[in-house]
Amino acid sequence: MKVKREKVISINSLRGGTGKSLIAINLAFLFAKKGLNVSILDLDFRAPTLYTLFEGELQEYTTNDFLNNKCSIEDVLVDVSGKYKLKGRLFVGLADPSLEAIHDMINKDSKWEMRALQRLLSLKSTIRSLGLDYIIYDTSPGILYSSINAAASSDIPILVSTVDNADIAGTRRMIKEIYSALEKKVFVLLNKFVSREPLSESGWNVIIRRFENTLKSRVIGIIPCFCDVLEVGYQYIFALNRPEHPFVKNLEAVAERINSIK
Amino acid sequence: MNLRIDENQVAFSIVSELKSINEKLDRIIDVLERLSGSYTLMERRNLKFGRVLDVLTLLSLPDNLRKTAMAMCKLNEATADQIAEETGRKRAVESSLLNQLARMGYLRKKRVGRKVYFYLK
Ligand SMILES: Nc1ncnc2c1ncn2[C@@H]1O[C@H](COP(=O)(O)OP(=O)(O)OP(=O)(O)O)[C@@H](O)[C@H]1O
Ligand SMILES: [Mg+2]
Repeated sequence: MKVKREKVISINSLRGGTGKSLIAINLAFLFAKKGLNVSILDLDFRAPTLYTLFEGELQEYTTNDFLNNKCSIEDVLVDVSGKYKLKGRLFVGLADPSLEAIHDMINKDSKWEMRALQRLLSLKSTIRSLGLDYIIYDTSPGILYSSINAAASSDIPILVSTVDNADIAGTRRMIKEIYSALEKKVFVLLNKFVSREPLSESGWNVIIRRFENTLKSRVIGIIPCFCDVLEVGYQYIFALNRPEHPFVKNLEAVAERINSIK
Repeated sequence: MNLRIDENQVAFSIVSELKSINEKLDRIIDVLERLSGSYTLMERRNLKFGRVLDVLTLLSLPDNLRKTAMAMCKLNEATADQIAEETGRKRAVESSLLNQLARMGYLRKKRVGRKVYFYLK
């Protein structure tokens, strides 16, 4: 039997709307399509997103309950691999989208947040007992306890950024002040890239090196901006419905690079 | 008669002697701290009310303390030996950092038998 990867991937960004949720979902489906076992957890308690895609799957327990120590992670996870006919298994853990739950999470004190970090750190042993290759965290943008807890408890921290000046500057600060302090080697994924002319392989490499120099971190991929991706949003899953689309092809390359991280 | 010393056994007994010396030192340090009243007012207040080691607080700590604190978050309750195993640093180093974190109010300390345990409150 193949050795499991057993890694936690956190997807963060400083600013909102960089494409975290869309990337997290499509990466999860790409891994599961390839036969890996994956779980995706919605840790964006301010603006839960995954439930829009998996509305019919709303469980009795949510990721909120898991962090509140009200249930185990197994109670939260729903297996959707049968529904989408995936080769590997895909489990989703949804966050509670109710106003009441959002209010509750905003009001947590630092002691609760410390315990929440410990709950997330404990998933390292769950990943093995569930036979998972990856757990993927989708998070809220910015410096919030929930998002930094996610980054601090991950093995493969990914920061999604656009190439917009403000975004790059903020991403750079986040790497320096948070990821370096946590001794995490971060991977930057540049999204919504707009280029005037089509780029050659070496053209892409020049751009990647430039951003790697600025950010002093590895750039794990650049994904262009596609109007049809924007148009479709969360109506269907690109990785499944449009496997030949360049958005998916680009993400496949990212998935492969993630697979090769030691 | 040729008396052969079993080197493994000697090494083993030295290690176990050292361990027990370490444990005794921990206790002596503990008692001295109490007796000498070496805590500042701030430290005494920290000890009494405690402070929370959440992730943003972790980020504000100096590097050497942060590593120990992060290991404590993982283990929740641990001896200096266990933390040393987690961080890959020397036990004596961890012992001093753990005591520093305890003085700052982030950790509590308790003795179980001959061992000193640190834990998050
Ligand atoms: N490469 C792309 N090309 C075009 N549109 C994109 C691309 N990536 C993401 N989008 C679109 O951008 C919008 C924001 O994406 P998404 O919801 O994934 O961002 P987010 O980082 O999760 O946002 P938030 O910070 O609010 O959680 C969505 O409408 C999504 O479809
Ligand atoms: Mg999102």
